[in-house]
Amino acid sequence: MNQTESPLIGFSIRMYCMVLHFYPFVFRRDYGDLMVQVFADHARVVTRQRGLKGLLTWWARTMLDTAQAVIEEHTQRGVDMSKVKFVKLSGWAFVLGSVMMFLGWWASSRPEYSPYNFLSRWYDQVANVIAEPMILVSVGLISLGMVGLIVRYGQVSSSAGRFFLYFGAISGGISFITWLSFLVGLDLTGEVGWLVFMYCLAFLFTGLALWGIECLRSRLLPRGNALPLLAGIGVSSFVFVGMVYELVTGNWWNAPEIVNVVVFTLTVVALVGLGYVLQGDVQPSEMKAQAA
Amino acid sequence: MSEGTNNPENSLPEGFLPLTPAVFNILLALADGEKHGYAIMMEVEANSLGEMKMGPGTLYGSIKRMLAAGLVEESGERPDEALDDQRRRYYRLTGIGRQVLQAEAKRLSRQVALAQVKRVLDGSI
Repeated sequence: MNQTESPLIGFSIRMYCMVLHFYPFVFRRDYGDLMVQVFADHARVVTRQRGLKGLLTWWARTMLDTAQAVIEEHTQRGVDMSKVKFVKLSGWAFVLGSVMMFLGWWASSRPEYSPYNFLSRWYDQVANVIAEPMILVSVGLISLGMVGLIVRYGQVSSSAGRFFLYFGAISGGISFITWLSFLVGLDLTGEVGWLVFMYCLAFLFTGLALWGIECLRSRLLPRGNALPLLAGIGVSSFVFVGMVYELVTGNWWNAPEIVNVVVFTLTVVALVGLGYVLQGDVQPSEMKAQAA
Repeated sequence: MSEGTNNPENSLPEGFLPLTPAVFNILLALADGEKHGYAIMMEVEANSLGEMKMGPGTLYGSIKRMLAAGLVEESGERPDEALDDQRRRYYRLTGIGRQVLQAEAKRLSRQVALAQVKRVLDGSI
């Protein structure tokens, strides 16, 4: 405001500063001064050109614009915060899901508890009970993590990358539902159900691994761009090798213990890393970038 | 392990399309050089023959999202204090911003060409 400003324009600017309080605080803090400057610049021009009528017309336009922009900014902020929360949650879902997958795998590898079996341990009673629910929860959480990747990186991925993410997430969902049906006693599909579960689990990790190749090429993650490929390649390869082996020999592939340990450890470590990167990569401004 | 950022330059221009009228017009206003907010607002109004009138809220709401998307960036350079207000912020197109503008302009021109083929523009339908 300069020293020779007309009182009318000075009053208008003060009024507009008050109007700005309708905007979200962060937006007002970042852009309030610039908006006042634009408002004041145009107020001076139209007042010089068309007097009071020009100023009133500018006010009418500004108020209409304010009504639209205030709704837009508050809505965007709400959507943005929900997305931020969801992505953060899905990152932790990856972390928790991978730990539970490891525990589920370990629990399912324990022998059936028997007080007469000298190989049995007291904790096998617990392991026998938790093994199947653990697998269910881990598949659900990892699928949720995949949805988080879609929300966070879907827009910046290529159409092929997006397809792999959706493919993985949907496969994970089907795998989850199939395993749930086993647990609640709705084993309606029998052997087919088992194959659906295993193949969809493999597809979940395949989708993640294929998207991981794009991460390596385009550096979609802020760091750790090899993590999706590392997280996806172990289980998918493991299941596909097992499936091929079964098709050829008719027997399920009992992989050497060391292979199991390496595959699951690699997967869990990479998933934990990926989840940690995802939960930390939720800058609201970047989320909004996808809406521009 | 490769390091990287969510670099907007890695994004595909088509991923941003279609643009909102405000975003397209702001990009268009910046096509021939950097400008401050008020200059952008006035140029958008002039370019659209007065059909697109933005207020400060729409202008800076759009600029905020475009900055976040990496379509525009703030220019560090400031004009001479005697020539302009030093508090002004100047904006300019980024590489991806220019590509997005070109992609949207091509998309719109294809739509106009289609309208011509269908004789929409000469009023004969």
